[in-house]
Amino acid sequence: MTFPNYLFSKNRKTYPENKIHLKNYMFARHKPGYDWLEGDEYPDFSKLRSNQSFNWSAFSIPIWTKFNDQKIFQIDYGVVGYSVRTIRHVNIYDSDLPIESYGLRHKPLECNYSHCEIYNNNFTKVERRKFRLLLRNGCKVLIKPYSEQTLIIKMYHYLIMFMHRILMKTI
Amino acid sequence: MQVMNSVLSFDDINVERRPNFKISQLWEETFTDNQVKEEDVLTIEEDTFSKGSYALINAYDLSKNQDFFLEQSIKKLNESIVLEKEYLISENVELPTETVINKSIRLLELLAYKNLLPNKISTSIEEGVCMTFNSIDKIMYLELYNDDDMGYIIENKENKNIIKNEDLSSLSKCIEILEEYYS
Repeated sequence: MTFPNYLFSKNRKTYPENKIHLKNYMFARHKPGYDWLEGDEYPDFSKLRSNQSFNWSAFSIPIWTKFNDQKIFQIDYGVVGYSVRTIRHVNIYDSDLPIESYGLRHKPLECNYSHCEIYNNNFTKVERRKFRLLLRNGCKVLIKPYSEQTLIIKMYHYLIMFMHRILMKTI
Repeated sequence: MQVMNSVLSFDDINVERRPNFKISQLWEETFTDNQVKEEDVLTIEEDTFSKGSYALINAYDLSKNQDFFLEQSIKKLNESIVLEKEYLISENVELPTETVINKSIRLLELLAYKNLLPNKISTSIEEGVCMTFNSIDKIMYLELYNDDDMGYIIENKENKNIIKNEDLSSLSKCIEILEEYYS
């Protein structure tokens, strides 16, 4: 697959945090064998970061997430979606975690305009472990490792991307 | 418990992993969990072994079965570090340090003695080592971090609820928690 030109930043603007809609999704790639063991439904807990990087669903489709920073397409990787609502409000799932649990910010890279990252306010390791597990349990598998996507699915994902961009602009 | 004085030959060494223990005392009761910290660990001879070094510190009289499974666990630990090294570097994650690896080996030995070895051992993306323990209805993730902290989290397999999530102060506390987990 060729690297999509749309992912180049080209000096486009960085959106503030409040523009990331709760109904948007964050896509992350996970490597099979290390992150994602054979037979497992979800990526492994030991490889889920509390400061994960993502592709924002308003500016990326899931399959684009397989491109790494060097624009190499990681054909065997799986892609998982994490709801922004889950990331921002994990305290709904566990009241021990603070209300504004984790922040999400848009931080475009030269070769990935959709790049976002989680940041937190120096949470303890206990809180980070909890967050990682809740994140894993709240994720949605979009592309399984080693699997290919049909054209219809890709077209559907393009549609979702445009819809998520409209959502973002309603804020 | 007896102190093992024999040193293994170089051929027995797992060359991928050579804990470098300095030893000043051989008596098991004088060793505390703190003695796996870098400043307290002791060297034997620089060009000898790995596998035997923890035994010199520890002196648990493991059965053949326990010893076998301990070796397999250490092998798994070694393999995960070697195999995952490139991946971790590509993700800008620090590899497990010498201290945390030694601590993990120490823990594995204590676990072998109690017949409580982990189902899975891997590196952790939070920088350190992660051990997974499965039971019928629960799963426990125990992490040893590069900054010398330790902690665990237990979830219910069916409903995914978090049962317990704590930091741990010592290896003996780890053993206590694991015995409770499997009881």
